[in-house]
Amino acid sequence: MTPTILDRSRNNVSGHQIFDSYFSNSQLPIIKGIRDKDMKLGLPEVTEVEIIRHYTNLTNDAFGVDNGTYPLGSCTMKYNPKRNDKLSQLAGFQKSHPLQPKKTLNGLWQFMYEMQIYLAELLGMDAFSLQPAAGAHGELAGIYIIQKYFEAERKEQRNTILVADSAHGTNPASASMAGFECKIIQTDKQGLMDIEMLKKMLDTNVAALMLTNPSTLGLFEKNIIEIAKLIHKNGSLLYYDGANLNAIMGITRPGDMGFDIAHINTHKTLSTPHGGGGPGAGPVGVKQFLRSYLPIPIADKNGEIYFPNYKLPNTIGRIKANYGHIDVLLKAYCYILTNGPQGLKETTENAVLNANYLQIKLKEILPPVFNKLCMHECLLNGDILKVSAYTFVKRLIDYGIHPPTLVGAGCVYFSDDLGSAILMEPTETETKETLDEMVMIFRQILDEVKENEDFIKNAPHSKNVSQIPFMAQEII
Amino acid sequence: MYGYNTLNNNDKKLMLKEIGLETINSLFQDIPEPIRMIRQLNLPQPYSEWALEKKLVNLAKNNIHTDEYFCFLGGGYYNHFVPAVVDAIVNRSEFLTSYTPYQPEMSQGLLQALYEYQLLMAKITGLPIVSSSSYDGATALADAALMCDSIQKENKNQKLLVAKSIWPQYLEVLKTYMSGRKIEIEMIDYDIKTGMLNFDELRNQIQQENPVGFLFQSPNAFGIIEDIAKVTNICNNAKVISVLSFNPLTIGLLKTPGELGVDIVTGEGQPLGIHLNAGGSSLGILSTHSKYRQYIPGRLIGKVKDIKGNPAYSLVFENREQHVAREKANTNICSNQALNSIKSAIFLSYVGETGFRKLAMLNYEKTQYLMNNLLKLKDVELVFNGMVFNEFVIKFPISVKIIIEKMLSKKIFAGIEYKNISEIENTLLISVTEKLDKGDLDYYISSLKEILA
Ligand SMILES: Cc1ncc(COP(=O)(O)O)c(C=O)c1O
Repeated sequence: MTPTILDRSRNNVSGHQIFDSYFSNSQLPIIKGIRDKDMKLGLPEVTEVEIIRHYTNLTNDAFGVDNGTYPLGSCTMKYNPKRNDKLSQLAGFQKSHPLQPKKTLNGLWQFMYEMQIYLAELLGMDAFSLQPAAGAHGELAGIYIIQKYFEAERKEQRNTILVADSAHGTNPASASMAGFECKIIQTDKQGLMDIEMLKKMLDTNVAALMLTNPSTLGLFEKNIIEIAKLIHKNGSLLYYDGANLNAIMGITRPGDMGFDIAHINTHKTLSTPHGGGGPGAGPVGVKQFLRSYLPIPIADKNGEIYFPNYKLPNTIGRIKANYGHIDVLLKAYCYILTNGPQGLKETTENAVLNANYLQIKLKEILPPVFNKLCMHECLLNGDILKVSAYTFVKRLIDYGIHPPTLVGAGCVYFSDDLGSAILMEPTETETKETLDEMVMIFRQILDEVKENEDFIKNAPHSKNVSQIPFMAQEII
Repeated sequence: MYGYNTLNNNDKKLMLKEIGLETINSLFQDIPEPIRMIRQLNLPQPYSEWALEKKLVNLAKNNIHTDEYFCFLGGGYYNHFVPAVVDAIVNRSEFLTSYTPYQPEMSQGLLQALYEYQLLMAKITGLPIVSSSSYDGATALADAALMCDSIQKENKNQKLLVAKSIWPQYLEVLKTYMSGRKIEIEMIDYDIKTGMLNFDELRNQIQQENPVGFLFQSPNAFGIIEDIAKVTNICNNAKVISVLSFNPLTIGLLKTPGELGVDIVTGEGQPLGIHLNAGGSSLGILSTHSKYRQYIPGRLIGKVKDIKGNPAYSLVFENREQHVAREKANTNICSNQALNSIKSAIFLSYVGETGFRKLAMLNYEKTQYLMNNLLKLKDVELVFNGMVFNEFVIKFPISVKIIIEKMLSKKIFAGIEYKNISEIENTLLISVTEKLDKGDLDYYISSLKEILA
């Protein structure tokens, strides 16, 4: 293992330039709980060049979209445009304090206001809050809105949230975090939500159904109109997990499908970088009848004046300090403006085209689980591989491709009968050439399996560490 | 062709042919007609790169930022310096454009950086377990409250004691998070002289309510440093989990909360190398004892063995998390604050042991300088006499609104108005960082003197 920054520490060196010629008192103040001079924390002492080399070397053993193809299903690992990064770092935003007098942040309010409107249009909702910090946080906000709505408006106790068995783990986790009971609806033979089962499960306890459309199986829930009707007839609400929005921009909108609440993951569809796990952003939108429940503040406009509006009568309150992940949201805003309406639609078209192309091209090696067109990602069956899907895709690492999503490795969950399923989401920013190359590599790995099964079983072979077993035991 | 699409017409034709379709439109045949968009999205037409830059530059210009005006604003977010090394590393695309390290074999560097964050932050909190997933200081505190509830559900009443002297925004977030679980929040008052916790009330309430935990902040919302050891003593005696929200920079001067007996340490990581960004994104610090590890939300990095038996970094203990445990997960967190935690790790490496202390000392000294000189002005008084670190509350003889306004015309963000503390009006929370030099502090003093005259 590479030494840690702590291992590199030496006495009496430093990287910092921390001094002030006027204030240089080294006398410790008398405060309760003061840490004496000889009580060290154990922070490292290293020079600036050592820090830069240490971290630069660490980045060399990491893999981003800028390094290569990243078909990680459900994560929408598209290219993150550089101009967005640059423009998110303008001093007027980067160096603004959140608690400045309102009138010194007019640019912030205007940006937020416009962003809310763009997102509302993109998702077919009426109002948006930019506050949630990630998709799961948007879900949580949505769940609190649902809870508050039944409490305040309907004066009803509804304790159940329905989720599909194919739903992302955050859906059931968000529901139970807010104290709801989760009930799971199964997937039918065609890979869609089992409507008959849904019908049976609807009762006056059901507050809402959370749904991803297209689902995490890469299929469009084509019964969505009927589902929405059933849900609303039952007096329940319909929540849209917007993680897969890249499949439908400009084609259809959650609002038009009948969803009442929706979030969008800007770090997926709107190209903001994932940062090795975050920060992302998960703005949450609602139909008009739920606007007054949104987290506060939202940006508002009065004549020509933009301002933060705290006066939403039924608000669930704050879900986070301040206004949201402004640095991240700025990148998403730049993305929308660069693409325009036509560009966003083409983004979706090409994302779906790429996924279907990949599905067809890989069909002999990895047949699609459901034998039909897919949306922006394709679910392939790894059962006919001679080695486990887990080790097969590890070999991709040696070829400079990030493995796709599998059970437990990636962000979605598949039921037992899909234990060796592989979810691939190429995104629209891969060229036909890179897709062809990827298919070729898959074939090559298949040949390698025939020649030397063990070699593939032990992949990857080009990295600083060897294969790490699934859910490996931790060494304490 | 707009935006970032990479397929040309020829590509599209060939690809459609392979799929066996004629038109792009037929890819979407599963989407029922009635819900298809029949118009274009009503969004602005595409911007050229330079037009986009102009648009953003103009928006940014409509904000006044902290390089333009002297910033005496705090309240949980501070105008500290951000060393150039931080931006240099985190703008590298290998970290910036990668996903959560689900494939450890190709992410050892990223995993190590996150692991080092855990190590470094543990030195600051004084507790061994650290996660970098809470979104900010407010949600970290709420996450800690949920942990208390999960840990103590069986033994205690579903009640939570919370100090009145936490940031108002944090309390709002906490209330939102607790509303679902139906956890009742009871507030613990502060002493109107010292600004510190009212310990008698704390003792009594703990006895009466038998709560799942007690949440407090130090330095608190008045800038006052609490007697942490005394709080944890009271909590420990009653077997109540103590949760602190702290400013990590104070540990340059003070003992770690872990050492003082705090069970769960939370805080806002922004002071450690993260730009203000109008309040986000930032970093939620969350840290606890080994015995509570299964309750901590979010990603944990640990060491495992590869198939050759060599040590390697990996995400560990994933059966706590949503992608494995689903509705039984201890939190729903998925995307998190990874890159911001790396920022603060780089920051801590950069300042190091001595720099960290120096920085905290500078903040303390400059705060003392400003405070002492302001108190020389006529009718300007401290509201509380407790010890402070980098901010303090002052009571003025005239309307604070007028002061803020007039200071603004002198290019000073004078402080944060507190509407009403214990019926005392016209109070201002004034905050100082190392970035303000003596001249800046003197300018604040002379400006205020002029306004009050
Ligand atoms: C379908 C789906 N829903 C929800 C989420 C959670 O979003 P986030 O990671 O932004 O919290 C994800 C992301 O992994 C997802 O793929």
